[in-house]
Amino acid sequence: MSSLNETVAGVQTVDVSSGSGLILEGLSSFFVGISSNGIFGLLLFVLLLALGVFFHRLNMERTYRSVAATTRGGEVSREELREEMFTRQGSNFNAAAVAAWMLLFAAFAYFYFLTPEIFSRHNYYQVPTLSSGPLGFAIFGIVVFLFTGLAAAFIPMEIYSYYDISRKTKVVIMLTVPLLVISIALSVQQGTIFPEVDPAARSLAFIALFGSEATLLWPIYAEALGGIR
Amino acid sequence: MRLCVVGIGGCGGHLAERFLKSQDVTLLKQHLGEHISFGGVKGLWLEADVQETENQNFFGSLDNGRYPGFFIPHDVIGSDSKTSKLIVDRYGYDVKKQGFMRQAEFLKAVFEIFETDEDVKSAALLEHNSDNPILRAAWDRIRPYTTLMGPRENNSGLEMCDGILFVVSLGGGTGTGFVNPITRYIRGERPAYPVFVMGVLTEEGVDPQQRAKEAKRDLGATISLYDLLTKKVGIGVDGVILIDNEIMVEKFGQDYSAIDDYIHQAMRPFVAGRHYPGEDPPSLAMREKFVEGLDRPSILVPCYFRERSQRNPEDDLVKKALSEGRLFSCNPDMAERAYVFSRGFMDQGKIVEAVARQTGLSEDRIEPWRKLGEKRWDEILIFLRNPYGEKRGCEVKGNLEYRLHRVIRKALNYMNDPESNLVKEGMPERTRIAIKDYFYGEDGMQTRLEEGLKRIEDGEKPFFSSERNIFESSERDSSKSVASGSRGEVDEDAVRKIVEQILRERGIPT
Repeated sequence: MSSLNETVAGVQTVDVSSGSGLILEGLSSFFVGISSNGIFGLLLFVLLLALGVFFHRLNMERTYRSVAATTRGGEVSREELREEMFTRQGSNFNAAAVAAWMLLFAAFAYFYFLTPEIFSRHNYYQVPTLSSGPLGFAIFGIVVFLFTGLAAAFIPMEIYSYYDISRKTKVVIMLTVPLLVISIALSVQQGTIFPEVDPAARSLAFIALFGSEATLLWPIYAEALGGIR
Repeated sequence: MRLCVVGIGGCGGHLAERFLKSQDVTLLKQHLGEHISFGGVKGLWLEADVQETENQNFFGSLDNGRYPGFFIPHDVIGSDSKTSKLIVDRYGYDVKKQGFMRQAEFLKAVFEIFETDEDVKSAALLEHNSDNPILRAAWDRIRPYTTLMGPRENNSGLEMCDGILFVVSLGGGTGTGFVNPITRYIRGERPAYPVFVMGVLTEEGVDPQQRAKEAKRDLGATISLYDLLTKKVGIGVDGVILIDNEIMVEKFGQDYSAIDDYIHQAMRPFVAGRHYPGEDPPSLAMREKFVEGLDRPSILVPCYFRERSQRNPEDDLVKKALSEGRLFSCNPDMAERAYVFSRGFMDQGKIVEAVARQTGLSEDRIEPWRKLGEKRWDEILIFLRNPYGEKRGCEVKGNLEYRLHRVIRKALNYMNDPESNLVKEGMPERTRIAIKDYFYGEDGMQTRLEEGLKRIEDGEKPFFSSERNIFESSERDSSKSVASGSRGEVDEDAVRKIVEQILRERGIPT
């Protein structure tokens, strides 16, 4: 009887482990699949940003309407309301947020436009003087910073200053800086080993990139979701 | 109104910490750039006990340039100070003694000596360039955070505070003893600057932290409240926000950290920024509202409630704040006025209507100030002005009169307890006479507190009548001076009586 129990238990263990193994394998191939799909990634990145812009405008409009609805006569100056809504989040947070947004754009560029694997006609290797130079990767990053720096500096000030962001959320947003550095490092590694591909590193870089983007936009989404509730 | 929060003493320090906590993230516990607190609050901690400052790591030493910082005002008096020696020799008081021993009259006496004794003033002036160096030093540390600093002196370009909130425990320690002298000192410079005090009355029974008897703490609280509530507007504070730890302990047990968090949360609508457009009046205008129709500071009872956002939340929030959310027991129907601070989307008219319905106040006696709230939460804080005055109201549990009547009664019992030893043997004669006169003299505290109890029982407002100093009577006896304040202020009550007498003699109705 006891040997029968052991056998049943053994079979159950095997079932469970093989089940979780299958899930892991499925997830892994899912991430490898979507992370290699350039169009999907590009659309997702832009969609998350566009939704952020849309929800931000929606949140501002909702606030305006709520204030107007509770104000005698319903007349409220939008400019005055914006001034009142402005909240200082602290210089440490602001610095971290600007850095995170710059790194986000850099991580995106490193992920999709470093190796020819995803966008074969538009990538770093299409500029031989750059890709064969000793500081090629760094120059590539600096160029991205130059193109996106203004946006990266402007976005945090525009979005975070109008939201009530808890200290915990600020810490999480701040943690996207190392997360994005990891994403960039993994993308650089892909560039170094090219034409070899490390699917696990690529998936991890993908998760770090889009996880960070969602986190950076979270205060806007959270406010919008709160309004929908 | 952007407030400068000054915590005094142990409890004041814990609460000030909540107000001054940074909203920013820190890198390895280091702040780079400006320290941002909720509502743009700035402030510091005044403490007399060096050990207390060493047992915490939130405040750093202001003298070392740290922010948020603590300051030990008594440190400006050196151990070999001639002023200090003069006070010890003449009065028997050691000005460097720590103020935590639950003896409110100690600090009161010390600061009155600086205000009344010309020799001490001269010695202090010679030695410290100020006739009241301890208070001068404390004020010098507070002033830079306020608009009183002036744009020329404010080189940092930071936003300054246009009001001060002192936070103290009314337990007879440093906060209890220090708050009156410092507010009076500030008033000497700025009679119209908004200054409020938030006082936490300690709970009944033995204090678990310092094992101080309730009656002893009650005497400290009574002396402090007496002094706060009898100074005229412009000489004293603009309002005394009272919080009863007895209610807090019922809610949170003896988890003092949770109590401090809750008190801070309740005060957030008061200190918060993000006003409704056009509803951020100048601080002086707000002060005027708080002192309108009064010649002495009012008692302000905070009533607070917070709930998830919903449509038309005004009625429910007001109702719950006034019933479940009182931070000091009282009967809202007895309030003279209500000052309402809300956070969330609320209609001003509906707030006023709800408060009027719940308190019976006419709408012109309700002042609402609205602010934008936090996501998904609405909250309201209502300050009820002087919510007492019911005949025999002191017999009704849950009334403000009931609690304060008990406190004053216990203070009186303590004064009459031989063990209390308020007039200590071994003190210099002049101090013994002054203290004895202050407590037990013909016009002493005993008589005044008994009168106060009678006024509470009769439902009269205010229940404390006029200021009483420790050293004024003894000074009068020795025919030295009739000035009651440090800046040569005339005793207004005495002048009023003389004028009234002259008018009566001339047949002019007063």
